[in-house]
Amino acid sequence: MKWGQVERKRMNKEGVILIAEDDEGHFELIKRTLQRAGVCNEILRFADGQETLDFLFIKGDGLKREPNREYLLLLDIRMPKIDGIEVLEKIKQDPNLKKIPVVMLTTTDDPVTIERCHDLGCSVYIVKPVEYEDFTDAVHKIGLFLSVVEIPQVSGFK
Amino acid sequence: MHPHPVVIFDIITFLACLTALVFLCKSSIHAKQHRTQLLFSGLLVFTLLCYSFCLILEWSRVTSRLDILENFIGVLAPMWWAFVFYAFLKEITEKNLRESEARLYELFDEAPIGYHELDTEGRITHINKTELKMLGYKYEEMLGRPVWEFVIEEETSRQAVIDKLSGAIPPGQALERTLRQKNGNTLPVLCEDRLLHDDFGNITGIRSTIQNISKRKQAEYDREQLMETLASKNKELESILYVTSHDLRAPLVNIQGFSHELSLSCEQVRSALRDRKKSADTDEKLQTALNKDIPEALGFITNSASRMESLLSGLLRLSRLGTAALNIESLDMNTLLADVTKSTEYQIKQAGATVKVEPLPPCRGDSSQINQVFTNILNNALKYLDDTRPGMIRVYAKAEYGRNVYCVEDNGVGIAPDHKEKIFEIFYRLEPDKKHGEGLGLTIVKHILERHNGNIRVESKPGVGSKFFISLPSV
Amino acid sequence: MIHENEVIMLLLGVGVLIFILTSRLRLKQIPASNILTAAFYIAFASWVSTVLEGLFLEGLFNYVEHICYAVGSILLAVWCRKAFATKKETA
Repeated sequence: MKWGQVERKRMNKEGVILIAEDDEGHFELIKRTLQRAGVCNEILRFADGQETLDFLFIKGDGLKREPNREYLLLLDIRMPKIDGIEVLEKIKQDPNLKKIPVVMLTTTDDPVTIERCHDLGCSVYIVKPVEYEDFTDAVHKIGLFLSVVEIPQVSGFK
Repeated sequence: MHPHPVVIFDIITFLACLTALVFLCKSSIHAKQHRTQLLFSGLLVFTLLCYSFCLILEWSRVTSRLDILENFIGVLAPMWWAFVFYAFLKEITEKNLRESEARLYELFDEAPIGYHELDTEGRITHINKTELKMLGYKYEEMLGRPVWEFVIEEETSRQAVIDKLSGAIPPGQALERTLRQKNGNTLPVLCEDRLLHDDFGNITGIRSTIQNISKRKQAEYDREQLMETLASKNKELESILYVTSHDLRAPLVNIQGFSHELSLSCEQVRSALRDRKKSADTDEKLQTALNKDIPEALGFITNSASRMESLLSGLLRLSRLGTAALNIESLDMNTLLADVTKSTEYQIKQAGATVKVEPLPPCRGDSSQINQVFTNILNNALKYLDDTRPGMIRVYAKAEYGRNVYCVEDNGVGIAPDHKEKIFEIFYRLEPDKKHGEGLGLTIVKHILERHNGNIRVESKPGVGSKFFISLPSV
Repeated sequence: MIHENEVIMLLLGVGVLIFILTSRLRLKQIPASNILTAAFYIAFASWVSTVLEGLFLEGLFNYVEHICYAVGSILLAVWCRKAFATKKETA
């Protein structure tokens, strides 16, 4: 745990975890991992890149982002219609949205894709299947602490 | 005074000369050549005749006043001998020269490469048969014309010839040029020049050898094409490998994850059973595990396993396409499309669409594979129809540069521009949750068309419809 | 007695002889060239005998001279027949 990080925010219990993941099984696994670890923040799921963008940019007739809430986005790279890379690109281009912390989910650590993510400004990624330790590491990298910050110390989950 | 015995010999001489003269006269009637030789031989024989006559007269003591005549005639004899030999020699020398020239000319003419010679103005003075054959011209058509008239790079060639003739640049290195044949086609050649000089060292012309390198050029071109095809095939293979390995990973993650979940549920069950207290809490835990968690996990596992199975069998189908034998024949596209529409009759009716097939020209291909191409495209068109209007699918064709381009046009939902390339990718599906399918249809179509030396192109506007253009070799 | 014309004849003959001897190879291409050259050598012999006749053994060389004339002419006649025969006549 690095206490000397510049941007260190506490995510309060009202923060929402956004998961953009097209595969139902993967989403279930992530959800269970987080819940078992005691993360009780609200979790929202998007089935593809289009839905994610519609939410974030407040378009379309689905769910809409609320302006004064904190969000953490877990972004799967391979999604139909609009893939994760493009979503990341669009987010980082928008002045409001680029502050949202993003964690990329990949099936392999393919160097080409990872370099692309780096270029776009995201250096945090987790290789699936999502292990809890990887998740907390990623979150630490961003400098966020979840309300249940003691849990990493209590290692016993996976 | 009686005659001296030597007179006998003189008489023999006289008779022999007479006979010789007769022979010569006979030959001179028929002979068209050897005129000079006959003449001098005749003169020699005639001289000897006269001389022998004089000798007869002298030695038979008839008269002895023929001295002066005898002397005069006698001196002529060696002179005529010389002339006879000289005449023959001249003809022989000329004949040898002609033969040697002919041999040399034959070498020149029939050489395996083209030769031509130019004068100081760059006009053709000599050109051999091989080069004439190369270009398809007759001798008279090329003689006297400036050589650059037959070269595609006319200006460059003209400048080069002029420079060489003026001595500005040295000839020598082989140059690649393109020549214009009589029938308008081009011929790539390798050209080497040498300067011709006269005895004073002045430049009198250029002699060039022309080598037909069209085979070599063709081989170079084919090799380039092959390299390009190889590179693109490699890329395609790599992308298939990449996509497949990623797509196979996803169900694997589920299998691993939910297997773990299963073990957790089993742990739940075990702990609940061990717990002697048998409370409502334990009961509930047991219930959740057995009725919800375990079946759910098993469901995900089996689904993922069958997804992997279908991905792998899709790959197998694609690979089998590459190895199946092609039976190329002339295909009547009207009957083929009729078969396709008949076999998809049910889907057409289900979708409530109308399919219109206009008269189509025949093409060359394997009937079952081309059938598959159109079936896949038609199925796609039916799958992605627009709900707001009745589906209209039209099939028509037009001829283009020796090929036939068949178009399948629909008024469905259309394809966004960024997806137009992706739809041919292996396992790519436009709307995976809404429509069933493995994403192989168009990949298969593309592979089949590549094997047929054809291709496929798509034009589409979202909300309006799509047009698929399939190009195939015509009959 | 040597007559000037006989010497002249001999000298001319020598010239022709030299010419023949130097072009022997090319002359071989004349049809039936051996007969022709033989005829010439015999003619040359007769010219030599004519000159020698004036020096010594007058009677012998006279006979030789006339015999040479005869033989030479016969050979010449034979050569004329052979050399200028058309293709139909030669076997």
